Amino acid sequence: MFEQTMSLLLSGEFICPIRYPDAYRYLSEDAHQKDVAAYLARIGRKLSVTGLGGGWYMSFDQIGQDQRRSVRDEFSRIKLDLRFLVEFFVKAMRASEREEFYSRGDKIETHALMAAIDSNPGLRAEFQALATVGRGSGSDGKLKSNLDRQLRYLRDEGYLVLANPEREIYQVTGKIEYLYEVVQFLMGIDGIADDVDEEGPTTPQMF
Amino acid sequence: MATKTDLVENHLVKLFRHKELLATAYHRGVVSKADDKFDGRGLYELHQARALVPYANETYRLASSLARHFDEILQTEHLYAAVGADVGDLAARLPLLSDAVAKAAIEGRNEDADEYIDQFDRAVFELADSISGALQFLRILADNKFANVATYAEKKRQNEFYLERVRKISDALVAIQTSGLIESLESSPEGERLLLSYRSQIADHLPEWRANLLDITAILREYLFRTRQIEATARRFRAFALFLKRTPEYVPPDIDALADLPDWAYRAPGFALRSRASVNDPALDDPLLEIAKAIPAAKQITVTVPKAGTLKDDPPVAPGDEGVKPKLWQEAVQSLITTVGKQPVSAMSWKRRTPSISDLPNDIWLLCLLHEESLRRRRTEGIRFEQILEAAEPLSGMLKVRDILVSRADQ
Repeated sequence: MFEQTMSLLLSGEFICPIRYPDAYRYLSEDAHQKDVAAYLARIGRKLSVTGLGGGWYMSFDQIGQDQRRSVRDEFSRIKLDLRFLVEFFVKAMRASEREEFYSRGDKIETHALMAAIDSNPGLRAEFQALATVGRGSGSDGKLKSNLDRQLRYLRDEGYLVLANPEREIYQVTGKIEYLYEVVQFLMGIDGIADDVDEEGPTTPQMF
Repeated sequence: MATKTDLVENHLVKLFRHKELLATAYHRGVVSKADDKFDGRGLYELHQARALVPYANETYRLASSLARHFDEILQTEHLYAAVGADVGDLAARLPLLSDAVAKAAIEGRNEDADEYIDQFDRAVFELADSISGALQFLRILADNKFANVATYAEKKRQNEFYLERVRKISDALVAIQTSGLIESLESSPEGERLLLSYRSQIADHLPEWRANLLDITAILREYLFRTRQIEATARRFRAFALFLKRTPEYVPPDIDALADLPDWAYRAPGFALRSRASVNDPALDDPLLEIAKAIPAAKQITVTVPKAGTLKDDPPVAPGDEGVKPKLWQEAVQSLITTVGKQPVSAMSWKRRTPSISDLPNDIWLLCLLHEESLRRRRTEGIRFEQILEAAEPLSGMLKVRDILVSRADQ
């Protein structure tokens, strides 16, 4: 299992119990973590895990000039995707009437989500607007095509796996915990409070 | 007269005879006459054997004791299972039974004393089994993080419920330890016999059970903490999404502006890994050979060689198809510019000396030369065309060329 786990880490994958259960189980043991960490240390990398323990990944041991360039690229990528990622998951949460944010293992049923969005004109408009945020090839502008494209993009980026292709059920991977950390950090440095009031009425009050 | 052993065997035989009905009742919840292959007799017999109890509308459910037994065997999880609920009650029985043994021994009722000792043994075993079963069940729940529940809110509620159950079991263990039963047994008649089973089944296991309980409590508390964090995450994401909506121009800060990078920013991009088999390694010969054999043979490409043909003579040129012949004035221009030297030659004088273009009007001849000059061909490189002009009407814009002096410039 060491070989498969190393290959995944070296290729930049997040190892979580949803996407790579065997490798994740392997890394759950301290002895295996030490093995992997020792290997990575020889190439200037280290084994890192998300705060909630749901995703293992490879990170730089130290930051030199070359590493800084890579880190900057990664940061730029996150900056590019951040708005789409946050808005998609929060809107999907609202559409599904979930109280909790998505966490690893949670399912997103395309048809159920589609039906929920479709039955709410406000959400429908918001998801249509979101379509322009998500990257990817153009579509016919229909809500279902847009939603499919967004879900595919999230799958390609490693935030979702297609758990049931026939029923189009996706499952959230441990990489979502990485997004938690990014958002938490940005809110911290930009002084964004996490207890802001929900949005009030959109139309101004009459005198 | 049937012995107790026969009664157990008979009961088991009865259960076995209607095993399908029992299994259906366990899995589906209720059974009716339609499920009974003995046309209702099975229902009747199992009801008599207290394995099935009437439910509603001529349906039956499995007796709860039997259902509990199957749950334990199959490790079936139920929401809010009353795990360890009977530990306190079972523990409370022991002093009562030990008192009964002591009383019977003092009064000389030896048979009763033996019976009570047997009952005490069973109660001790039941208590030990209940505690270890409860701990095992809780451990499974804690380890799989309430996997049978989909939502985190429900997981959190279950987590809190089972933490309460753990607390109750822990209280029961403390009560057992502080009950002073060991001291009481040591000083009571027949107490030695009771002490033996109590020590081996309960007292010796107490430290291990307490350690297990602490482990389970730690796992449950840590998981509860995480589920609460997930709630906080939801709040945080909603706030951030709202902030993004209200601040469309927001862009996260540049990495160079950050003094301390967070851990997540250190994530390294992957390598594009690609390996090739070493064809020089003899150990790989066989597998490579197998792979090579598995590759379908390449389709042979047949190249058809064209037949060598024979040359044919060109057909005779048809009249009027001789090609384009240069015109006389073109030949004359060509002749003039190839023969001209450094000494300027008057085009008009040259024309007069050339009979082939004697019919060509003079102005046309001069126009031909002006045209040749304007083309700036390679052949006119170094040839100078000097126009001899006649006086024209002032401001008329007309240029009257009388002659052109053609000469070859110095190289």
